[in-house]
Amino acid sequence: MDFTLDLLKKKSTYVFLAAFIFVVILPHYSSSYVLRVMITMASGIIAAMCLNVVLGYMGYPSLCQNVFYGVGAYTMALATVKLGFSPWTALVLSPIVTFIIGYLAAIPFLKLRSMFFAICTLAFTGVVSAILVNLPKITGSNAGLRGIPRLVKSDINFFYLEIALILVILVLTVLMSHSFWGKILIAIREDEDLAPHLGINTTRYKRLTFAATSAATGVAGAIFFSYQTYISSNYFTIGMSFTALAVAVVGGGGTALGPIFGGLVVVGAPEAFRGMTEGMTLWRPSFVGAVLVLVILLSPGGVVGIFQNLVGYFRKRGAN
Amino acid sequence: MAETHETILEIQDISKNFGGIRAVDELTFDVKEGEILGLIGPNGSGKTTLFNLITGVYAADSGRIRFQTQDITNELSYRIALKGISRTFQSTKVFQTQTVLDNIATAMIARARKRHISVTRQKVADVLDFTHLGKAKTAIAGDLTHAEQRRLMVAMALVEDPDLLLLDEITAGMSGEECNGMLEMAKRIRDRGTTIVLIEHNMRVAMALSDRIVVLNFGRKIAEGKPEEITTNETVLEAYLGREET
Repeated sequence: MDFTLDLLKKKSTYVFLAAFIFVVILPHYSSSYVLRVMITMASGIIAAMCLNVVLGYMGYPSLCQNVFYGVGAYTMALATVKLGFSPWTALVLSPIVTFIIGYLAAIPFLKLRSMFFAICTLAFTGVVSAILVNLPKITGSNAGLRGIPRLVKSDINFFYLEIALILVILVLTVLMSHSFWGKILIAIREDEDLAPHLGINTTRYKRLTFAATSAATGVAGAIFFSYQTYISSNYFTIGMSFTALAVAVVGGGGTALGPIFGGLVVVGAPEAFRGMTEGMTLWRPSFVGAVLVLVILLSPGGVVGIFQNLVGYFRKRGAN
Repeated sequence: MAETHETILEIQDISKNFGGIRAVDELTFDVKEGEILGLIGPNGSGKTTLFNLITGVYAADSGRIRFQTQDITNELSYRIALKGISRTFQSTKVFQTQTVLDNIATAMIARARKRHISVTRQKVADVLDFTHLGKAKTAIAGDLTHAEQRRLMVAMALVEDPDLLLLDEITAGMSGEECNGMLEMAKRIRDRGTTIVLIEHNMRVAMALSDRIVVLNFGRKIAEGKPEEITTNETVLEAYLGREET
């Protein structure tokens, strides 16, 4: 009850509500192209929000977000196209399958730390894309699988589906960060060798967190490829993992809202340039790289860090 | 006081090799309930390795460790902590970016039993008071002084009332005055009924604080007894000062 009252008193609650209403109305006035960009952006944001928990809170630089995105997507594709399930049943299956794969991957990977963990997850990405390419009978390889049924009819509803998922993940992340679970993840990030001596079963929390965020990423993949109705192994390159990483870092690691801002900057801004000339498309990766370097140099706290600094600056000026 | 009490920790023929180096070599000794046992020895004599064996950081090659009535040899660290063994570290370990209160809260999460929130609040207040960190409770751990950080590390080890506390050079890097404060604190911990095993480099400190002392050299126990017995022990003097060539 206190929590609800506190929320009503905060300015940020109203800013958040206004932003939410804007996001809900926006697609009705957007072209189908802009809507497509927004849907792509939203699914990137979801992948980054999940990575943010693993990287920002737990301190593990995972580079295999695209694997779980892909596993979720292929679960959707195979369950519907090959096995004849309804897309909603497939949407329930996706997180279950990705959770299991995430948990199994976590067992060996999370024994490693920092860059060794990063390298291992990177290699995992390579292994999985090789599997996707080399099993054409199942995955359709480069040619892909067509005819994935759509979860909902209109594109706008796909966008709302993703927004709903973003809200769910946002609320879960905030709740998590205020609970014992968040404290445990921060303890793992800050000093993993100390935590077990305080009675914390770090292995269990690391594996469950990794698996749970994988599952949520899998749902994002399932939704996106149901929207697209077509899937191929070409989508699951390492690039997507790096984008998720860029979104999480640019937004501000370890903050619940960070990936949303990061997504707007890293995925959204290059799209804004796309319309200008054909040649600009080729500059997109450079843009992402440049933004990443700039943000890291200027504000280690990411975009959220810049906002926090600005708010702090104006508060101080107001006080003087 | 030590003799009348029961054994809380039993180290039996414990050995640990690192490659060709025998860090701990068939070590056997007991820790009695309620005492302060000093563990001394030259650098590299296996003191910290022994702590790591007791708390499950390393797996022992042979031998057994019993705590209270249970065999805890090669048990996982977090399970050992849950059984009631706490430790501090030679190099300061706290959660740097978190506040003092958050550090203590994290230390309580896994070990706290189901209880009323007022009990938890009282425990936090008590431990802050006990370690003189009350004024710094909202400070970020990384901003504290070295001595305060080390007191915080003790507070985190102590907050859930362990039965056995392993202190690894609590006075490391401290000035004389800070040192005395820490020693006085160790005594107060013992007076609460917590058994302590402490590693100490400073002989004067170890002698002043311990009820009994175990001396290690090259992973072996070379002496065991009351502080006054140790100071006159030939083998100990030899290990510390070297043999005089004739």
